[in-house]
Amino acid sequence: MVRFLNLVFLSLISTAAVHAKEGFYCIPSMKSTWIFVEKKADVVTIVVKNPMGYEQMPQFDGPTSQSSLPFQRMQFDDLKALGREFVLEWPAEQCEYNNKEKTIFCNGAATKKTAGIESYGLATVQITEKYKTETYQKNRYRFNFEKDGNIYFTSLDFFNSTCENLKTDTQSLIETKTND
Amino acid sequence: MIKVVFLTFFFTGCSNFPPKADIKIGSTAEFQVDVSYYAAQAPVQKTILIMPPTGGTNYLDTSYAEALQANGFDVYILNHWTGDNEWNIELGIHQRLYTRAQRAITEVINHVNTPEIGMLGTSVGGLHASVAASNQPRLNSVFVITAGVSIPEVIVTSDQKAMTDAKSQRYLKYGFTNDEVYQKALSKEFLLDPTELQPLYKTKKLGMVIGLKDKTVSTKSQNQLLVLWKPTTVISFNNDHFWSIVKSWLFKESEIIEFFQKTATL
Repeated sequence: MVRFLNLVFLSLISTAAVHAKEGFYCIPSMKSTWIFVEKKADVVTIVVKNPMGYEQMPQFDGPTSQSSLPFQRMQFDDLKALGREFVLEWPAEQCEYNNKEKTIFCNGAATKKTAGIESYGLATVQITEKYKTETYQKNRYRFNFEKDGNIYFTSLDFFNSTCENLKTDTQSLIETKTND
Repeated sequence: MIKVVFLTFFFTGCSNFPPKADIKIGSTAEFQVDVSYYAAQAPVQKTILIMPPTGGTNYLDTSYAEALQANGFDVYILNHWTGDNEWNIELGIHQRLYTRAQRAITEVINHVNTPEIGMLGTSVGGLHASVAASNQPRLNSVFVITAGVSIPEVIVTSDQKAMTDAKSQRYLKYGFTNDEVYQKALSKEFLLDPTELQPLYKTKKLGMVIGLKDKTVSTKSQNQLLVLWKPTTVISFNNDHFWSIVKSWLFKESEIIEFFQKTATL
């Protein structure tokens, strides 16, 4: 009887481990780009949603000059297939994830990608902006993409105030809110 | 005579029905309603009307529509209607806008043939839905997300910029000395408040989401609607207006769909 109860207990623990997840979501407004990140035992999944379409997704964080505009146009066009929503996934062992800080670093080729666009990495930059007496914290998620041999970097900024951690007992947003 | 003008059809996927069609509905040429129509795959007995929040139809509204459609409902999102963009600081503007919204709802309901009709409204769309619950006999279920009563009180206490701007201009123009005086003046000009209408809502199945830290449609006014309605389904979030709306969709969409499924009796 004790052995049976132990088995039941172990089974419950292993089931919980399989379904346990950490994650967060950032939704600044109804119209701007959103991000969902979830880490399970074996996999890290990222979903980026563009409620107003790909054309409204911000991509560049570096200095822009007139001479860089053709390159930026090329990137916008080459990555157009990312569309209204794209999903990337890496094996958990290729990622470092900090649930409290909402930072994520993944190295290597994504095992799940969208529209044949490769990704070889994702990094987070934590940014503090000070304006007079006000301080603002934000995270910049920097994606690497490759299309037809061209390498691109896409950065998405989210103020911490627009992000929340996913409760472990709530449903997975990746499972319920992803169209793919 | 219902006049329907088909504007655009969007065909996607391999099914034989249009998943979404943008159409105009109106019994007369002078009043038209722009709707997005999501037809269920099979003939249905149930239709849901969606009333979007301020700012117009957004991703959440279309997501609700697609999910309801996939669950066997015909869905209409009421995007715009004649005169919905009028704005000035006259106190009577709210009566005109809410009257037109009810007319738009009536036009769409008259266009619908299914015996069961439900309504999902968010924020100002929820305010219109709360009026419709007391004003539209053919509606049999209403679910609102962050709506409240009285509507004049919502207008006076809202932190939404259009409302705070109107408030400061009206204080100057009409000489209001405090919110109580302002609200009384608004109430005299507004005849569609659910607290003053016939209690037709009692014949309907009702549900609501409440934001417990809401300053746009104050939590107090949402609780007043809760007391008035005594809805069968109540979901609350310890959040402000925006996050309560977002979290309703993120985490409670299936419950909202279930609400309409359960209230469908045929």
